[in-house]
Amino acid sequence: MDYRLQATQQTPAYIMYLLDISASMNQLVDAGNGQEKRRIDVVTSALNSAIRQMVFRSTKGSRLSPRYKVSILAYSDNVFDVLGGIKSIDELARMKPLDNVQTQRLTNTAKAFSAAEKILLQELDKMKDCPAPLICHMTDGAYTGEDPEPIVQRIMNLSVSDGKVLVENIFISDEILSRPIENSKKWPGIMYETVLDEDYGNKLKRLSSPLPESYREMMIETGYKIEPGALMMLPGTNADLVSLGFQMSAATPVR
Amino acid sequence: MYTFYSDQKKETPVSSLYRDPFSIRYGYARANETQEADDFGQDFLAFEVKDRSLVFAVCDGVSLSFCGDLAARFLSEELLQWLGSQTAEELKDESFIKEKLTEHLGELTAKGTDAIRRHRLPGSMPPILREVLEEKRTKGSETMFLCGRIDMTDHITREARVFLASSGDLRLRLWGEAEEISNPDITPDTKKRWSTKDGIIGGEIQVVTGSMQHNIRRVAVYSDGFSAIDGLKKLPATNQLQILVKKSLQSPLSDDLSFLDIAW
Repeated sequence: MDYRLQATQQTPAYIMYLLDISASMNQLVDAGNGQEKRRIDVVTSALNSAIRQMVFRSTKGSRLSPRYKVSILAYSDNVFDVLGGIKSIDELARMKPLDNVQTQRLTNTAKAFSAAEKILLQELDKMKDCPAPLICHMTDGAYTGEDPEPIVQRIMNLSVSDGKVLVENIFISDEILSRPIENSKKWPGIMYETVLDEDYGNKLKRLSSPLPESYREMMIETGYKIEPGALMMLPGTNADLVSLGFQMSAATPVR
Repeated sequence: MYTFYSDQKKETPVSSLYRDPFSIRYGYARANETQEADDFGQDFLAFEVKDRSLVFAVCDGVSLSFCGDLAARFLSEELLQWLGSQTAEELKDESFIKEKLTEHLGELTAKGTDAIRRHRLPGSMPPILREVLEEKRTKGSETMFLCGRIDMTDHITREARVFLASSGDLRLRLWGEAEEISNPDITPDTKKRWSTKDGIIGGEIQVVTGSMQHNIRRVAVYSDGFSAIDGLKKLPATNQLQILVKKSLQSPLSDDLSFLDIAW
C-alpha cells in the first residue's frame, strides 16, 4: 500500500480526468509572458502535455508500450465520456480527444464523481495488481447541485493492493491564495494546514489525497520542489500551475 | 576464437559451451511484451574467447531514452573491441585503466551520436510518438553496462587476472573455489549509465582489477530482468536456469534478460 507498483503493459496505470466545462471556463487566466488565455484552453493544452508525458514515459525502442489507461469525462450539467470508454495510451496517441470540447452551463461535480465511481467499481477488479488508479479533477468554481464530498470520500476509500484510489484536484481560481506563486518549480505544494482564501478551496483540500512519496520523487526528478506532506491539490492561478497539476497526475512509477 | 553476439530479435535459451579454459553459460530473452510485439530487446550480450582470454559486455538499454537497444548494441560492440586491445599491464593499474576507459567512453559519444542521428524510425507511427522520439533523439540513447576481461595466468592453479568495469544496474556475482565472494566495488546503481550524447552520467564508472582478484574462479553477470536469481547462493543447473528464465518472463514486471556465467 505505498504506491510503488510500476506501470507496465500487463499492469497499466489508470488515470481518469474529470474536466469541468461550465460556462465560467471561458474566463481568462494568466498564460505567462503577459498573455491571457481562456481557462478551457489552458486546461486543454495542459492535458495534451500530460498525454505527451505519458507517451514519453511509455516508449520502448520505437514502440509505445501501453503503460497507461485513460478516461476523460467532461462535465457541466451532464457528464460526457470524451474518449468513448477507457483507452490505452497507444490508442489515445492516435486520437485528438480535446479538439471539440465546448463549454456549457453548470458545474454538477457530484454527477461527475458519480460517473467516475461507477466506472471505478466496474474496473477495479481488473486493476488489483496495477498501480492505484488516479482521478484528476479540474474545476474552476463551486459545484452546483448535490454536494460531491460523500461520493469523493467513498472513492477515496476504494483500494487496490498498491493503495487507495488517489484523487487530485486542480482548482482554477484567482482568489484561492493570498500571495501568488512566483515560480511553480520552487513551490512546496499545498499542505493540510495551508489556509486557503476560498471556502471551496478548503473543501477540495479535504477531497485531495496526500501526494505519494513515489510521485513526489518523480516530480523532484523533473525539477519541481514539492515537499513531503503536500496534497494532490493545485491552485490553478496560472497556466504553469495547471500544467504542474496535470504532470503530477501522470507521475506514476513506470518500468 | 569464439564470438557470441546476442540477436536482439530472438531468444537464446540458456546454453553452455567450453572453450579452453572457460566453461561458459549464457542466455538472452526479451520481455514478454517485446516478444509479443516482435520488437528489439533492449539488452545486449556479447563475449569473445581468444588465446586463453575472454572479453565480455552486457548492456541494458534504457527504454525511456531514444531506442535504448541501439546504445546497448553499439556500446557492447565497442567495449568488446576496446577490452581486447588493452595490454595486460595496462589492465593491472586500476586508476590508470579507469581513467583510460572513462576517456574512451567520452570519445565514443561522437560515433554514438552519429549512429543515433542516422537511425531511421518506422514510417508509420502516431505523430505524437514521432515527436516524442525525435525529442528523445536530441537527448541521446542510453545504456547501462558491465564489461570485463579474464586472462588465464596459471593453468595449474587456475589463477586468472580479472578486470571488471560497470556503470548502472547490471548484477555481478563472483565465486572463489567454493564460496561466493562479496564484491563491494561494483554495485548496481539505477542512476548510472552511458549516453551517446553525454558519455558517462550519474557518477563515475566502477572498476575492479589487480592482484586482489586472484581468488576468483567464477564470474556471473546478468541484467535486472533475471533478478529471480539474486537470492540464490549457487547458480543452478542449466535446465533449471532456463526454467527460471521462463518464470521471470511470466511476471507482469518481466523485463529483457541477459545472463552470462563464466567459470574456469
